Amino acid sequence: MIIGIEVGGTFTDLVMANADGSLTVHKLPSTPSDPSIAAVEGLKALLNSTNSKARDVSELLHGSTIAANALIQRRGASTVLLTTQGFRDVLFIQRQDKSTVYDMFYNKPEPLLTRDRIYEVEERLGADGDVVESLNEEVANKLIDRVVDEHLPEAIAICLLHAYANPAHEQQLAAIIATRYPDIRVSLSSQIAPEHREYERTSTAVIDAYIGPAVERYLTNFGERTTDIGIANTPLIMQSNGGVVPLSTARKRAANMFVSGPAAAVTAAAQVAKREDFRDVISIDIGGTSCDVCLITGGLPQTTVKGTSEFSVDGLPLNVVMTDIVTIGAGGGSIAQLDPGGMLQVGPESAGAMPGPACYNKGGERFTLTDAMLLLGLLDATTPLPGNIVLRPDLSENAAQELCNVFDLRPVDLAERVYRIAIANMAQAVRRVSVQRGFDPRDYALLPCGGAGPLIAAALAAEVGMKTILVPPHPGIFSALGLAVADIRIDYIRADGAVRLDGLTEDSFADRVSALSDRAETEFTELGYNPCDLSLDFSMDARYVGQGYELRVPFEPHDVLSGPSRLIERFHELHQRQYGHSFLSGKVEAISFRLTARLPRGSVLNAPAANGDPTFGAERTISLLGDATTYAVYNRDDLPNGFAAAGPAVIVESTTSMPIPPGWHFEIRPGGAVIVTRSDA
Amino acid sequence: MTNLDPADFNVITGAFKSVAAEMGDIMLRAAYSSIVREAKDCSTCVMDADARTVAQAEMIPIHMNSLAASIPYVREKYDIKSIKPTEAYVTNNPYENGQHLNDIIFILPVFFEENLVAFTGSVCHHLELGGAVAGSNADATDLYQEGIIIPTMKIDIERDLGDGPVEQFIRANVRLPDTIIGDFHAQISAVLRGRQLLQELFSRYGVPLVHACMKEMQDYSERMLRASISKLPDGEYFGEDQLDGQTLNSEQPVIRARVIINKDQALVDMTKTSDQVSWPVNAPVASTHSAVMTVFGLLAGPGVPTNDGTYRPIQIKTRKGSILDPHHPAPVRGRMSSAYRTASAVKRALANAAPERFSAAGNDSTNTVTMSRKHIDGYEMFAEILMGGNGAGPTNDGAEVIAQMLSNTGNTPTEAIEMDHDFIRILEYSLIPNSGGPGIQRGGLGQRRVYEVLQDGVLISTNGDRHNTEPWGLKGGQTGNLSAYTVVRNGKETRIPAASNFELNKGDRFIVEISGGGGYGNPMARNRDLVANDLRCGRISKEAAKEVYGYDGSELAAE
Repeated sequence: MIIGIEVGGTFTDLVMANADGSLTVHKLPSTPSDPSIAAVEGLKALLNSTNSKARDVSELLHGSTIAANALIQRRGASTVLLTTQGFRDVLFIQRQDKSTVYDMFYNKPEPLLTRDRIYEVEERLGADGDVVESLNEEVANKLIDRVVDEHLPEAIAICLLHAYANPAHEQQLAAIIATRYPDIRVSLSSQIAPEHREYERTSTAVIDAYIGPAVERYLTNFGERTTDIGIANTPLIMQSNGGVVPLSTARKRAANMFVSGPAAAVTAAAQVAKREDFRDVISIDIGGTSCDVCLITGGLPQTTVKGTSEFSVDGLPLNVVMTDIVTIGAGGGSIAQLDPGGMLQVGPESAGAMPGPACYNKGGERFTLTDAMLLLGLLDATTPLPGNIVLRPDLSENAAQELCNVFDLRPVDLAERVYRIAIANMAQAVRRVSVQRGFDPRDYALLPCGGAGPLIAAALAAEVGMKTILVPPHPGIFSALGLAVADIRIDYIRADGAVRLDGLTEDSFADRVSALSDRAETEFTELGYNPCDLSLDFSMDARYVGQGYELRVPFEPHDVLSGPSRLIERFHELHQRQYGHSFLSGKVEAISFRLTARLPRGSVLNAPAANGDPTFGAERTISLLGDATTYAVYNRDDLPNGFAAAGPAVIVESTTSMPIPPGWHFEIRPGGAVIVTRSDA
Repeated sequence: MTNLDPADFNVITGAFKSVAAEMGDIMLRAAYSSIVREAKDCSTCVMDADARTVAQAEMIPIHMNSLAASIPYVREKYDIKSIKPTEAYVTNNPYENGQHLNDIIFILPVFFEENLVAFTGSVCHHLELGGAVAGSNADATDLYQEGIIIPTMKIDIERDLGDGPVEQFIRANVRLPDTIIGDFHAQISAVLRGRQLLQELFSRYGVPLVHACMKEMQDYSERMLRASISKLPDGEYFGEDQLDGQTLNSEQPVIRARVIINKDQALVDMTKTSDQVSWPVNAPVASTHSAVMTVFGLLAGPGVPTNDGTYRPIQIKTRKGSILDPHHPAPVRGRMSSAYRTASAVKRALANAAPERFSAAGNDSTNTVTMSRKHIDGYEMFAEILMGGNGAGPTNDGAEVIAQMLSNTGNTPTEAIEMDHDFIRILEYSLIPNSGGPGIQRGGLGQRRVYEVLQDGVLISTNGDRHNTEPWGLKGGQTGNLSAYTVVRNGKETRIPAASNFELNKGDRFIVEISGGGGYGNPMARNRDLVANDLRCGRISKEAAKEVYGYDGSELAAE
């Protein structure tokens, strides 16, 4: 059997996937001081409750917020940075710009290191990697002794100017440290993020150094504890790119552990989409306080783009391959209120889990999206939520009163406005991952997950102009499930300077391709996998000579044979699609060549088929898209594969429910997904 | 409030903002030149059927008003209601309410079901637009030496662009035709996309509802701005600041602001400012207006959409013939210097009214370095804008090396510069210790950037200010340091004025030092831990700690 363990800030979730496709779920409070404690306690409890043996666990997968917590709470290791002479202040100067323009008292994102922890090394490389001033080992030795003496660092980050083009000086320094101070963890910019732009690369190397020791310690503990209870196989660890790697590899790749739960959910979305033959979907994961949106195109989740806020953690740039997830403050707990100009707003302020929405009767007195959905009939007041929360519409109405007076509306009418505004906010997030990145969301299916995802799916799809909704099985435990289905994945990059495509020879192109695939094959072989099973996706980041932002152009290894003209053509097409124009006479240059190597693992996403009979006759009045209508109520557990019906209908599950408005119809798929389609599509 | 449905209002105004933002995003990403993509020296906006601004992308405040300002002149020349769907207005003329010649303004009508329903606009600073020298011409004595002048004119985008006469004419008159036309196309892509998105909105919600939301969005901004002005005490307040002279020791023009706060409105009188000058720091009146309004935008804080409503509570008076409202054809290329002094003087006046709501002066200048080389087959050019420290606020140290209040200029990574241009190497990019004005809250530090030139015949042109007058402190806070430009040749250092044109050869160095911001409150009262930390991190020297902050480390030793 396969077990996935997802450690969140508050709860640790475990999912056991059995050979027959059935799932067993276990949840317990997290243990922030050492999160591996709750992870392993949960694992023991799950094995006990199912009468399973540790040796029956064929694969153990694990995702954790350990890296993000260490960074956000600024509780990382004692770290110093070595950098090129003259460039000590790159982390403070940053990119010189502001994230809010009209703020007289603007503060920059706070760097992880204070200025006294940054040291300059006498050396200099040129832009093509040529040595302008060589590194004096003797001076470097003395400097490193002094640094260690003054700060007793656990970790040293090294980022030298132009090291992406030539790692020699960084490696020289690393070798000195390895010889003299083998216990110090060293992070090289040329290894972690070998791309030009010194602030982003320095920031990435420093982040890796700062959280590295904590991540390593944590993974070591976790590995030892699982061995102690008898799990034979090495655990696989979730990475920000949506894939997993063996624990020993993850220890060396600390900067790749930031986005765990959300990336896992996207991975699950991509797997469900693949099985249902959807290549292009947009996943939206809606929880209590926020929603996460990701675009999956051609079966692959998009990764972060330089210059967007998703390219960073806590305001600090992180240049590693991360799933491109746009998060906005819109969720079930989002509060409706007036802004100082008198506009009705929903979120980003949230009532969270405590005090929660007014209808939860836990002390919340403000009107939230959940209250709105209750008054609209999207939630059922007669059925308690998991955790035995009885919903109280009367409390929602009380909470609505103040705003109702302002606008002279009845509570249910206010609820309709709040719902519409929340949908519009989420639609903006959908546009950010699609339109703003050059994709038309109307060509995509919507894949809702999280507790509130299915509740808003139809309205959101209608708002954005999407025609199909793919509701996955188990939408409420999607992150833990994503772990269980993730591929083993490592991304490789080669970015040793700009290459003009019209001057790229077949040999030089082939050399780049094979250098990347050799690295992948070697690493996967060392990890004990068969390199023949690898699935390789190549791409290059290219731009017109003179431009400052690149577009990612996918290519196949056999494109080598047809020479660069196909690539140039493809770049023009992409530029046309993204910006509405291209420069056919413009010269195109590639800044970096990329490879995503994936080793697919078997999917366990099948939900067992239901064998009940749909009961007819139950009804509920729901106001959706402006009209109050009677909806037929179906219990999800009673719907057999192949069952189809037209809206208005609502499918009720234990963790959520999915309204299907008039003009849409749905079908239950063999794997347990529900496909909802606009009837005129 | 009107009787607009609250959800319609929220959703449709949200859509206006995202249309403007999406237009801006296209412009930044498709642009060729580093000045657009890194300095964000551009703006995009959505306008109503009368060409009044509704929503604008948050790029840089000096363009807060540039698109709107051009409209009255367009009206003077044309009946805007008679524009046809394929036509557009274009201008860069500072004396027709434009900014400086580099900023081309482009305004496109939006038609829906054959009616004129809205406009979209974009303005973009072009790296080079002809003129006597490549880059900013510090020696210009009139507008004609600063570049080609595009008078306010109505063009047909199908007929006149591409192979048409307007584009061809521009292409033939600039030194970097591919870059300039590339950026020009990015500008046009932006307004076209904006038009399409607005048409979708009109189609979905109907013309009357969209127009009602446009009007309400302007009223909404007006309400927010009036509310923030009413929080200032009524009265008459004065503030002034000085520009650098043309040379290091010559007379300095003075910018004087008199601000009258009367309940929820403000009168800003700049008429007592010095006369216009013969060098290019005159500010066209549209720039003066943007600068004044930015200060009120900062007062209102983040979250107030910039549009026609924002301009309404503020009345601005200038004097024709002054440096802030010059006669044609005075040169205006370096108008950012006087625009910054204007904003600084107005902020100073308002800080006199309510010091707890303002920060001390920052470096407050646009420090441009343009480097170019003439190749046998054309020009290669690089430009960047270097920023200094922010002034300290009542509860925060000023940010160090940060885009100042009229701009949001990013830097260009050293690695990108050296990858793109083989004639430049950057030797140093650092914070300048002691450059932030001392105070309870310290001014942000300024920067030092050292360029080495690797080939002969590199032409440099610079712009800047604050080489003569330090950024002021507030409530007992002290001034920041001064900026300085120095050329090093054969070991000999020569100071040069902020606005200079000169040529460097292989091995020469150019050192740019940009001032820090002013301090807030008496430095003797600064928290001792913060002083100790500044000293440990090298932001202040031992001497400064002792003499200015009264700190010799004994307090720490005693602990």
